Amino acid sequence: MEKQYKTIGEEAWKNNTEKINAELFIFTYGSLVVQLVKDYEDYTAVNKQLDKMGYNIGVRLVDDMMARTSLERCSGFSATAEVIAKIGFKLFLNVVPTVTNWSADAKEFSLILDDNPLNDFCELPPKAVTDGLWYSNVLCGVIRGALEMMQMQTEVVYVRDVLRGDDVSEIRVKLVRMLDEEVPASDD
Amino acid sequence: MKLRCIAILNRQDTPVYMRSFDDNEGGGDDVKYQHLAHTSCDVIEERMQKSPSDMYLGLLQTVGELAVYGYVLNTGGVRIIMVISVPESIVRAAAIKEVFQQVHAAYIALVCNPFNEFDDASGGGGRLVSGKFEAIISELGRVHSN
Repeated sequence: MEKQYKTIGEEAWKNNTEKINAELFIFTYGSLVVQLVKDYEDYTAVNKQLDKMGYNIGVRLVDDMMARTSLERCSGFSATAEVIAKIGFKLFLNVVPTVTNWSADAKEFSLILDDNPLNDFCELPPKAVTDGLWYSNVLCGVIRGALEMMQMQTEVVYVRDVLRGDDVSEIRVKLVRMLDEEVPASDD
Repeated sequence: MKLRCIAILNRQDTPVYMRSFDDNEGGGDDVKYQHLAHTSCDVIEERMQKSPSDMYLGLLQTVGELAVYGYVLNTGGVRIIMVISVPESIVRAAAIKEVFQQVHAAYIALVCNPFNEFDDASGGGGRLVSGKFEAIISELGRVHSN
């Protein structure tokens, strides 16, 4: 199953994806974060706003992804994790994070990002580091929004970030509950 | 080639970055390099007019045992000045150019940082502060210290 996801992701990236210049995207995101920092002047508030923005992106993004990859319903949460890493991230950022650190009840996992394209060129000022800014927090919101559209309520947070001096970036995804108790006969 | 100082000045000839590699007294020497940078400005203008499309300006002046080289970025007239101790053997222009290009590349990475404050519009020239940039310049100083 895992090999399949990997191939689906790569195929979709190669064939069904329009690409734009990476620098344009990185600079746009960078100015966005800097503007938020200037407007709110409180890094916790900026994190929250990034998460909210990500959420709005995620609820729309997931339909786009499903349309391009014609995936079936996931067999379980671990399959969901694989889809997020190998297809979702691949399709939109062209990186594949590693899925690890599963909790004992299989309701929580970590995504380890070795290489986050949003971070290119970025260097956090020391105050941002001490006050807890998660630069790519929008990604957490995207995952949360996308999973909510797939009937899963989750909590998604950043736990480590290379911009803050850690060796890797790590996002923790926790399934709170399923929003849809009965399995529908078919996906409409 | 012994690197003594790297300075970056903006179009108005105000220094936005100065880094000296002498490990003896810090404060006194900086003034010497600032003075050198200042006096090199006229030569820079002159060279720029002579060959407007060339970024590397060559040897600008020698003062005592120090040789000053210049390099102009094609964006916004920002200049990089490099001071080295006059070497016993001939220094190839290619070697100097290479150091300049590395500084240029580091400068570009610095400028692309979204958290970098840019005061160019006010003409004041904010100071460049960046850990990564300092690390690269330190490395250059370390490599070219013989």
